[in-house]
Amino acid sequence: MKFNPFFRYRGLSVLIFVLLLSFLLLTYQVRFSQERASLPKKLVMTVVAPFLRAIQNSSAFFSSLWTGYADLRYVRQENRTLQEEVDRLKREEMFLLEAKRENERLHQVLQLREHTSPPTIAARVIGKDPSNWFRSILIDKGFKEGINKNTAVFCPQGLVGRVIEVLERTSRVQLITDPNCAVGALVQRSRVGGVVVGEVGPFCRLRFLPQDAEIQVGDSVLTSGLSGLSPKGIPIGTVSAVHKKENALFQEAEVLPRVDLFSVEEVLIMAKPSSPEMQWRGE
Amino acid sequence: MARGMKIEMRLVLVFLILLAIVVFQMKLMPYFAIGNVKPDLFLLFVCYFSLRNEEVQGALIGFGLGFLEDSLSISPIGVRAMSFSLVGSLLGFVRKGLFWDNPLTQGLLLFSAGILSGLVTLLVLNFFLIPRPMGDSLFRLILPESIFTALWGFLFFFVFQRWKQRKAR
Repeated sequence: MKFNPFFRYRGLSVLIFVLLLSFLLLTYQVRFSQERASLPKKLVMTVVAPFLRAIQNSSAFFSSLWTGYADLRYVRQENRTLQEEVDRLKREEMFLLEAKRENERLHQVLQLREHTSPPTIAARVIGKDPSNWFRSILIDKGFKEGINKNTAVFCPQGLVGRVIEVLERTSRVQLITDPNCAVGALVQRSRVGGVVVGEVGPFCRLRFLPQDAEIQVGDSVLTSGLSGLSPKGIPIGTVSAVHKKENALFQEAEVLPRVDLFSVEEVLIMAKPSSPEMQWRGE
Repeated sequence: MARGMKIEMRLVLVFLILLAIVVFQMKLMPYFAIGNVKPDLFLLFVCYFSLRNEEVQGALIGFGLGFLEDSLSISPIGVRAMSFSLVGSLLGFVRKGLFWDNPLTQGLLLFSAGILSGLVTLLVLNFFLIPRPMGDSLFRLILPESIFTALWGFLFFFVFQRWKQRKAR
């Protein structure tokens, strides 16, 4: 019988083949990053996304049924409380309207450039990253709904991440806790600038802070707007620890994200790339 | 897989199993995460199928499931494909010399597979993307992931083996 080395070492041959194929795929992707998701990802998501969306819709339906039943029992009392709250807010609105008019007059006098709120698109989270090595979420809007790559994603509490892949009706959002994510940031109190990067754990790290920068536990960290991805002023998190080494060039701080990234269900995505005129208006 | 099934039925069964793995991993497993680390069902099934097949099938199953996990993640395709194909092939190779048909051994093998795939993934990521700290990655990600996956695997193998034994009676 003729000696066939492939047959004899078929296990090793197949292993070498698949390892080489993986290496080539990786090299290609890292070298040629694409505007939209690659074909295999597009195919897989086209098949999987409808199931994820269906599960999300049905769980939202049952959840709303249950909360509807539970809420009915306290409707009357809640209605009375809400009516009082509405009356109070109406009175407050009158004062705020007056303050706004005065603010506009003063802006005109000082000829300050007007800040506009960024136009946004709302989306629901339909899945989370299956891998522990990356942190991302899947949302139910894609380029058909006007989502663009590298736009900021946030919710009323603060920054969630940025759009990293866009498909037809779904998009992937890289969270701020992803180790490959970096966001330009500044400390609200001292106005010191740095970069917030994701970590392996549940925190982020604020890096490249000058050694003499004043920073303490409890300081709020906001987006600086310098990276061009997100408007200035979006809350990122709160400093939970400061790490200062004697002979180091920079000091670092641990930042606890303001948004509970595990349980976020709805997000807002900027409809167009950030510009200097945009400023986040807050909760 | 059930013998004597038509090829179409087998394909449908494979599709349903893959879909179940995907849905469970993306929707359910995050609720079982501890310290942001959840069990990896893809790795669990690579080990399950590789222990029941030769190294050729193990490598291909590992590549396929790794490719699928990479496609659903923001990871470049090939990261988990590389590590899982290595794990699948090794398990297909070592199964001949081991008494692996008991849930505890399978759990231990799953733990070792988790460590190996984690180290390979870390090396690949450090080579192709932004380098990650070795110590942090080992103690806060690789070890916990391997332990959780092994525990889930032990549970899964135990329940599945009991079900098979009852079915055989």
